[in-house]
Amino acid sequence: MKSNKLLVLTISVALAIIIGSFAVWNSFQLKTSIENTAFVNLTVLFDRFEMKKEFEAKLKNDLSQKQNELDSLLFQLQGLNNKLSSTEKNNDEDIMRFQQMQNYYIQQKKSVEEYSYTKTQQYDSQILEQLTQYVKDFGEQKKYDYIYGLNNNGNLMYAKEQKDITEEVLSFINNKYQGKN
Amino acid sequence: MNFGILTYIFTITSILFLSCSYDQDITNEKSTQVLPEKAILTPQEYIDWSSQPNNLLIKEKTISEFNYKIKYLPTEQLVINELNKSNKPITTENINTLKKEYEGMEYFEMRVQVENYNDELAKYLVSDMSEYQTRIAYMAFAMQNNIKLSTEINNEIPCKLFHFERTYGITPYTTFLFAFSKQDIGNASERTVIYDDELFNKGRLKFNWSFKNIELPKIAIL
Repeated sequence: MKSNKLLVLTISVALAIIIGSFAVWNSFQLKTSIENTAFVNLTVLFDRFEMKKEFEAKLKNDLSQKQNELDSLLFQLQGLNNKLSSTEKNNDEDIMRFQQMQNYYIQQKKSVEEYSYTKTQQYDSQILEQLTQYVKDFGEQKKYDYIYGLNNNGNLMYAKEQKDITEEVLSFINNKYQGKN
Repeated sequence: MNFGILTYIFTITSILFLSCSYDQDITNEKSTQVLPEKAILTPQEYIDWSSQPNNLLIKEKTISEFNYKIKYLPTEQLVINELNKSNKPITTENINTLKKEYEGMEYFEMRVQVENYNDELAKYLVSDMSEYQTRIAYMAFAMQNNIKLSTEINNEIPCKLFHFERTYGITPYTTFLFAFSKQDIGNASERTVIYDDELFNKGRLKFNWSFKNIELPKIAIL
């Protein structure tokens, strides 16, 4: 009878140990998983990404050069227009030259606008591809389970401030872009 | 009952201990050997060190499925490769002769590879033969213009020598060898290779080497 009681007690203790350990292990796993979750502010990340800054400056420079060429064309066009306006009887040749130049100007202006649009699209896609890759590298290196992206579309409605790793990620991705890590 | 509590405490301590040792493993995983222990290496030791994936000379970047690996090629490495290819002995005379040939330039080797793709790089997601030919022409003639070197002294050093190694799909990667004038580089300790990838539209890719306070190993002459 006494030995039976002892057996029941031993089994109970053993079960308590197993269940207790399992509960502790489970909560530990859950805690680890929560700890390995963070978020980044995508707007800040994109705006302060070195590649974006470089490409923005490059595009601005390219467009400024093209704008100068357009301004020079416009200046010539205005000169021709003034000449035509000051003369009472214009010859057909001047009118035709003006029209040709005007068409050329419109065509060039359109081409600059198209260039600006295409390049912006191309650069944005390249920037986003590299940014995404570097954030992925960061997550893998730092053993994150999830890194959420905060933007204004409501995908992430709330996150603790302590979970904001934007600055850390920004420094990592900028170093990565510069080929330093 | 006391025994039960002790066992419980022991189990929890073991769990915590295990979790700590796991963190230790993560830390150890990151340590890499960038420079060899010895300053003077035998040719074989030099080859072994320079072909290690984590050595100081190799810089790597992965963007989506594309992997770009650039290796800085010190003159010593070029000399060893050349002597090995021609089966010449590694003597002071042979080394000095070859060193003179490579002296004026700094060489880099870039390998581009697509993950899980073993055919010729130029054929990757190609729509027709014309696009393939355009890519080959770009790699052979125009790509040089998209490669430059930046240092702390001069931020736009042009690529002076370029060679596209065409392997017709024999290797799963494509190799490009390029060089910059040592005169342009001067005494700079930083080097950043800048490659504007127009081939696969990946944008600007940078690879940086810092040789500040670093002495690269030399070869022991036999």
